[in-house]
Amino acid sequence: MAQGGNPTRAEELSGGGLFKVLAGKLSEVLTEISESSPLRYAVNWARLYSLWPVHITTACCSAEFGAMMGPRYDPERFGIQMVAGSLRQCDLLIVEGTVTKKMAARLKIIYDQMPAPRYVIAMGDCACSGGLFYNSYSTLPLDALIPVDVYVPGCPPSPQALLDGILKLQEMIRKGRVNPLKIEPVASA
Amino acid sequence: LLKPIVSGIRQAFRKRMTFEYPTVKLGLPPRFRARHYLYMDRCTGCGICAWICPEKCISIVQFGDEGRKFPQFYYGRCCFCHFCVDYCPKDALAPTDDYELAAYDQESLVFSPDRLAQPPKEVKRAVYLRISGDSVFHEEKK
Repeated sequence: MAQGGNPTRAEELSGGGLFKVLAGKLSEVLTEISESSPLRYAVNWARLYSLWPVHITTACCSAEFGAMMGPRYDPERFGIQMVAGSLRQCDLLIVEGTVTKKMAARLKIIYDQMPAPRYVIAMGDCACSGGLFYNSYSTLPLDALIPVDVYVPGCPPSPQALLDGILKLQEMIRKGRVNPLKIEPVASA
Repeated sequence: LLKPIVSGIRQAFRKRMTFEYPTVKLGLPPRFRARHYLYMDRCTGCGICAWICPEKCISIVQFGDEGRKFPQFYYGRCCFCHFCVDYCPKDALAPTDDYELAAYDQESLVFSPDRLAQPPKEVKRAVYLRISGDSVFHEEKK
């Protein structure tokens, strides 16, 4: 192994690199198979009932998120639990509140750490469009940074409205494609 | 030793806390503020609602064959303060209890006048449960 620098191509192929290339090919083939067969419904079904959320709290919407996670609305009925110890086990990012320019870099880091089938909910007005701070010098709308799947307006949205947003996201996953890089948003009714 | 067993048994016969949301909907407090309803025959298009809106989410647009002017709401920015409802001189705007506004894109967050003039679906809402010791914010009158 070359010390300090990046490993060369030959070293990459001889070591773990070859395995990575093979695994990448295998996953490509598997997604091709699952895309073009009824298997994709099974994959989507498994995905939509095991959404593990990570929430990035910057404003008051987190109180409503806490209320939604409680026993009165009980999102565990839909397989949504706060069980993850790490961002790499999560696949749903709920952004609650204002995204300032300083927070944007941290948000990007969090988003990049999550593995590929990941979905984003913009909760509240601040995340949807900037909200009350829409003409501030330091805020950004969320969809200028990362692709957003579902917008939940409200200031803050009630727990039932957030749950409605999550149900709409599950509907989108059910109709969507397996390969997350090619997901097309479903036209809303 | 018996205490946890007794409390466990007591818990089993309690009323269930959870509302099964998509089928059973929780009763809302009185004067709950959600989406607006627009009476198109009353509205004169004066623009006071657009002027008073603290987030400037209302824009006055021409709509229909006669070219009358109506407010158009962008719910991605509306904070549901309902100043527009209070300030309307003709009472053309009214609050509804339709809070399910989640959408897949920004375009469907914009409510044009004809979407605002649609009455919300009538939903049966469950009566708020009184659980001993809890504070109750709403009970539906019969």
